[in-house]
Parts: sequence; structure tokens; C-alpha cells
Amino acid sequence: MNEAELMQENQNRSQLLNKQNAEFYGNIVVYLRMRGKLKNNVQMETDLLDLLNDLLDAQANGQSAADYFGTAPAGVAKEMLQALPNDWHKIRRVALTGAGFYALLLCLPSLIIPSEPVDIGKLLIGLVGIGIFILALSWGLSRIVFAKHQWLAAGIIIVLCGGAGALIPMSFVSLNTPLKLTLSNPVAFIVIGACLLAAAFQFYVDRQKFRFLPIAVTFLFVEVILGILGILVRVPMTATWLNQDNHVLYFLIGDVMLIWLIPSAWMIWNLIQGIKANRNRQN
Amino acid sequence: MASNETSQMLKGVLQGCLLILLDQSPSYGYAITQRLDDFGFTDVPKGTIYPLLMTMEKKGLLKSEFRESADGPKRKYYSPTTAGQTAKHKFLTEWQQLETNVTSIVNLEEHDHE
Repeated sequence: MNEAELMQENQNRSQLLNKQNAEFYGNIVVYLRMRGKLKNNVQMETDLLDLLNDLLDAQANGQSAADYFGTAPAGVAKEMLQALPNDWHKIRRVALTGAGFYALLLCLPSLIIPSEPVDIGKLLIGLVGIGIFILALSWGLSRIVFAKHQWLAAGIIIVLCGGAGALIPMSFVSLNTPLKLTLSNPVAFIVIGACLLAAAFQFYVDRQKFRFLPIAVTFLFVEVILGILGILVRVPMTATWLNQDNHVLYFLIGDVMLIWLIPSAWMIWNLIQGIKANRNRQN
Repeated sequence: MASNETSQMLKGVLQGCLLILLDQSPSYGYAITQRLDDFGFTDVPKGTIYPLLMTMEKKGLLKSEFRESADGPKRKYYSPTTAGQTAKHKFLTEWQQLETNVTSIVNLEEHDHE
């Protein structure tokens, strides 16, 4: 089975755990997935599924997850993480292709004003910022699951990550480096086409990770809209219309509403379904 | 629940015990913990078995494969590799030596009390 199939199987079988055991197992899952970014994902998901099957056996024999696994899951989860091998091939692949893809995708917003040159230095700084933010967010989420005061830990992480999440785009917009490149229209069309292909490929990869589907859809929407806008502002007929009476602004506001509403509603729907499913679990 | 001292002692020998059990018949997590229970390791928190099995696999002492289990989904069956069998023999030799030494000292204590 590949990673996505293992995650799906894990999701399906974890429905069989009772509420208390599901919470116990869920903490281990979140910890390993958040901290195991550089580990072999297939092996990690295999070991998690194996542990889940054992917890289900223990549950069937009248043992709670804590009775079976022990009352110090944090320490054991840490040891499990250390026992998982680092996946250097994956680290290289993620670093190279990830950087390549996100560089292309970050490029799109800077292509919606044809007269402005593309700031390559700004894109590189943005890439580093995104990388650090993703690692910090994963580390923060993994700290919550075994924290003594989970709500307090969650609050601190949300404030810190939310602050950083707001600060990065704000500083990104106001950033200005001398490393700039002016693109002619044909080159800009090729770059936009490459960006859209990269976005489509990224979506194809992310859609298998069903938990992140709404985020993947949002990402695709943003890239497609910026790509379309990048093309329209370079075609003389549509460019004239867009430059009249703030049409660009209406175009962006209308699309942002769509981008915000559809995936947000989808995520809220998923959240409600999750809460309902959890409420219906046996104690 | 086992005392902390017992847990520390157990940690050292558990790897050897697992190599012996798995060399007799390959097995998966839950079944291994049940076998350990049969041999009196009831106080060992079973969570400690998982990182140990994973570490032994990482070190090349164990290999694993997914197989159909008797009652339920496919399970990850562990069995010793050649390196694992060598480690098992080394453990048996060292354990016998340790047992002889410790028994001699314990006997000394018992003779003093008599």
C-alpha cells in the first residue's frame, strides 16, 4: 500500500476505537506525523496502522489503550520517532522539487502587473520563510498533543503561528531586493503556463492526502485565478477592460470571496462531521 | 506495576528475549506482547515493545513482512535476520555468564544468613 492508502485504512479502522482509545491513539498519530517530516512516511504509516490493529485487539479483549500501551505515551511516541529511519531520498526530493514548485507558484502574484519586474530575491526569501513556517507549525502542533495544559499550549501555538503567518506575507509584500528580472509578454506567458502546470501537479499530489484536500483546493484556486489574471492583463482587449473603473479589483474581490467561501465551508462541514462522529463513538 | 529498577533491568534483556521468541516463530506486536505475558512479563508496559521492535528492525536485527493473521487484518510479522540470530547467540552466552556470576553472589548472601 502507498502512503495515501495506508492513511485511508488508518482513518477507516480508527473509527472502530472507542472515544477514550481514539483520543489516546490520535495523540500518538498527530505527534508522529507532525514530528516525522523527515522520516520515511510509508514506514511511519505502516507502524501506526500496526499499532492501531493491536490497540483494537486489546480493546476487543477489554483492555483500554492506556492499560495496554502504558501511561507514558509521550515517551514511547518519542522513542518510536527516533526508531524510524530518516528518509534522505525524500528529504532531497522535498527540498529540491518543493523549492522549485513553490518558487514557480510564488512567482504568479508578481506577474499580475506587467510593467513591474519579477523580484527574484524576494521569491527566494519567501521560500525560506515558508520552509521555516511549515517546520515551526509542525513542531508547535506536535507540542500540543502531550502538553499538560492542552488548551493553553494550543492558544500559545495559535497566537505565535498566527502572528508569524500574518507577518510573513506582510513583510513579503513590502520587501524589495535589487535582484529583479523584467519579463517580456511571451516569456511571461510561458512562466504562467509553467506555474499553472506546477499548481495542477501539486494539487494532483495533495488530493491523495484527503485530510488536506480543502487546503489543496484553495491553493489551486488562488494559483488558477492569479494565472488567468496574469494572462488577461497581457492581452490588449481584456487589459483595456480590466484597467477601467477598478475592474481588476472587482475581479480579485469576487474570486477571493469564492476562494474563501467554498473551501472554508468544506472544512467547517468536515469539522462538524468529525465532531458528530466522535460524539457517536462509544465510551 | 514493575518498579523502576525492574524496568531498567528488563530493558536490557528484553531485546534478547524478543530475539529468542521471534526465532522460534515470527510474530506481530499484539501476539508478541501476549507471549511475553505468558512468560510472566505482565508488568511491562506494552508500549515499550513497539519502539524496541522498530529499533531492532532499523539496526538490521529483525526483518518484517505483512501477512494475513488468523483473525483480522494483515499484520506486520517480525523475524530475526542473520545478524539477529548472531545477536541472539551472543545474548545467550552473555546471559548464561551473567546468571552464573549473579547466582554465585546471591548464594554468598544466602550462606551469610544461614
